[in-house]
Amino acid sequence: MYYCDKKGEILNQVLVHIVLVGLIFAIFVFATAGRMNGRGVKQQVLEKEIALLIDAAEAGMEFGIQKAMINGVINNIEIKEGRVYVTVERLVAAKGYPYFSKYSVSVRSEGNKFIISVR
Amino acid sequence: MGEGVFMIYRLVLVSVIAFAIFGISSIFYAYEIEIRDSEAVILTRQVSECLAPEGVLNLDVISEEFENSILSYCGLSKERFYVNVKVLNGAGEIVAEFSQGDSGASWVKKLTQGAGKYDPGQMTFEHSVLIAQGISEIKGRVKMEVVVSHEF
Repeated sequence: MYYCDKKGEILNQVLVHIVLVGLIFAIFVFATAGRMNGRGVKQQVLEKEIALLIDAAEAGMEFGIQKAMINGVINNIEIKEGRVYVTVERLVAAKGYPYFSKYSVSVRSEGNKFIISVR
Repeated sequence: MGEGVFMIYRLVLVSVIAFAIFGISSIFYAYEIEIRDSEAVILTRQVSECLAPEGVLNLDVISEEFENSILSYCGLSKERFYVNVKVLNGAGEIVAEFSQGDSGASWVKKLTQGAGKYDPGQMTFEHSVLIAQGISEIKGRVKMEVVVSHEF
């Protein structure tokens, strides 16, 4: 009788163990997927495309970027200290991407677009 | 009590292993979009237009202090970039040379060729110009090399 109880106890422990290990791995899988999912890639594409547009722009040019598009929703575009920061689907930009234009660049929100002006 | 402590130890160990596996895989699978070659093309055009607007390079306008700071002369950002401009006369002799940035960037480019993320963008470009110095104007060429390094 005692032998049977001991076996059940071990099985219970192993089950708890497997569930906990599974949970830990699941947390890490989701964290890794979050890092590599589409939002990060969309953010990188937008930041780099905007930086290239600014670099190639001449003084007096303006370009508009739709807030909602097939690639997702752009919550915010910031331009500060020579860098472009884009917030896509609430994923806040950590380090942005630098541009090298000699002109003064500003961004403003206008209806369903962000307007970037190069002056 | 002893069993519980042992279980905590095992769970910590599993967490450390999971962290190492997913941490390393997230570094290797992170998606990197390469635009440094495009930046090099744009920078080449900007420097070329700055030095020779309308195709005339006036050497009297560019003072000697800008020989090693050509990007500053053009008002462009100098981070990550190496620019070298050689002005040649009709006989192929160097009349003037301008540069800025770390010249080591071009041999780093050769070293890291194919290294993906750390491979710098590069552009070499040559075009003809009219070189103006004093009252004379001669036909010549501009040879330009632009290297855009990785952003660390």
